[in-house]
Amino acid sequence: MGQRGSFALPPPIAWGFFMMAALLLWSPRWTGLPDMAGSSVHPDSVQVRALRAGLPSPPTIEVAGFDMNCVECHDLFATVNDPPHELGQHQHIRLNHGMNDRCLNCHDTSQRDKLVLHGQQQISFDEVHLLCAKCHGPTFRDWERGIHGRSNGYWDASRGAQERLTCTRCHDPHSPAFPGIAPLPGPQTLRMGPQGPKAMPGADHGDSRNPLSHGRQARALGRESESR
Amino acid sequence: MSPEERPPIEAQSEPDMDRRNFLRNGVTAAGAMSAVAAALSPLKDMDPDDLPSVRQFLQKHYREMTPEELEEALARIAEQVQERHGVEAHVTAPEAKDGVEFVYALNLSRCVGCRQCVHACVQENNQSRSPEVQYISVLEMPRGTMDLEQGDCHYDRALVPDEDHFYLPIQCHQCAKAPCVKVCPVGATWTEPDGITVVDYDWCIGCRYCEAACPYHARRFNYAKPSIPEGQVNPDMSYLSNRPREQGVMEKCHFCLQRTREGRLPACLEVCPVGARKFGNALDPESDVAQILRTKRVLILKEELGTLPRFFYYFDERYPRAGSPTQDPEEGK
Repeated sequence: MGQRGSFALPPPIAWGFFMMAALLLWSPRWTGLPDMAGSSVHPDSVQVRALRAGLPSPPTIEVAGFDMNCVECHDLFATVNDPPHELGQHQHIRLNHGMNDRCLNCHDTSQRDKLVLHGQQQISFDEVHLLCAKCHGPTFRDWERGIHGRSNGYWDASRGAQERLTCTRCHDPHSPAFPGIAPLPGPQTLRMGPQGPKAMPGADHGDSRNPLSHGRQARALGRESESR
Repeated sequence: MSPEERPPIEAQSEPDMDRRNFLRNGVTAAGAMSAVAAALSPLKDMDPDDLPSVRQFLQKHYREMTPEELEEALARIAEQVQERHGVEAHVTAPEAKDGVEFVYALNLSRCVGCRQCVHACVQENNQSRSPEVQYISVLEMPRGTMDLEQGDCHYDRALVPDEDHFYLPIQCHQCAKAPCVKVCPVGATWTEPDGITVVDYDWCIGCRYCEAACPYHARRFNYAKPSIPEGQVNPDMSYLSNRPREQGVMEKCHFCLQRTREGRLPACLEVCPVGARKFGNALDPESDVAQILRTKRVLILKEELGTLPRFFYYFDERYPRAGSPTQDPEEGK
């Protein structure tokens, strides 16, 4: 008990309350995420469309600025065998189809706007899946069942049609394995690493979204000893 | 003033109420009130728009609403979307159809890890762009393991696929015995008759028990107020799926319910450039997925947990890739 009439300090509990108020007003609370002006992924980078444009059937080829049908040249210059030398025409075609490395395995000798099945039966370019099925049996079986290949539209046939694509709408018949695709950006972790939109991946690996990869890159570049 | 001269009655009977005690108690009370005021001060920054409207507050659980109440709720959501995003939304509540059980199948032989599905999903389902909410994580797995701990979803390569890795996208597995449904204390999440586990965003209290319970890390929490850039709101919405969410609620993949209950395919499937994703009705023996389940080498993740997922992974027959010469002429015969 202090002396009566003398000035007394507020009790400790009051100091506690004032300090609590000061702390709360100083605001150690969450300050929010940095403002991101929109998504780093442009809506156009996500598109529902086949990888390749459909060819007209019979196909045309641009020669000296004109769209020509195959027969317009090949009726004049018939080629019976696959030439043993480099082609004079069609040099943009790079044949990378495994053992299937002869033009006339697929293209018909006599009628160039047709494909050829088993060396005799001519089929149109629309029926190319029959030709592919000669070698790719399991894949063809899956495709017929609807298991292989991309599909768009409806799963419920009573509500609408499902768009099915033929082989060459996705695969380049001359080089059927898919080329590499640039991936869209990965996830931003909420708690780890710097926040904010990042450049598209691959442009600069120093800009990685992966907070763990900075250490990995440092090690890979042999900078580990310097940083320690 | 000596003690003898004091008035004898009230002041004597309350000896604590002298000037000093009055001041001490007064200072303590002022301190306590300022602490309470300071603690409540964040409320002054609150946007009234964040508070639920009366209609929203009094709204019933989705499964207890009468058709008229549901109509009213849908109208309220459309109004709110118009107000916040300036978009005329078409809000529906399609119901599960009899004889339909949705199943997803993903071909691990085909997936190249391009993440198109991740971003198609974000755009279709009105997820928050900042902070980022994504339903699909694509794991880049080293060759020779199915240990998910070794997967990395942060890969950033110039081109995918990388030849030393395979890619394993994970999203909600729509389990038949869903642990997330079991743990929800308020019944805000449940499994619909067609197999889709849904969330009533207006009923969720944001306790995140389901996030902890999910063995596939498929549930996402809105830690902050979701933001969608102007002009990127998908106006085709449904109550249980892609209508805009509030801060503090859980969300997850719902197999694009707003599309699939109308017979359409999910957005992640339609965008897949290599056709690795298949979706359909498992109860129809002629459907894509039923045939995959019958004929392919199918696996599920974490089968030891007994969650009975409706999301299957499978492999194709192995044959030499085009362009890679067969070493042994006897191989494949």
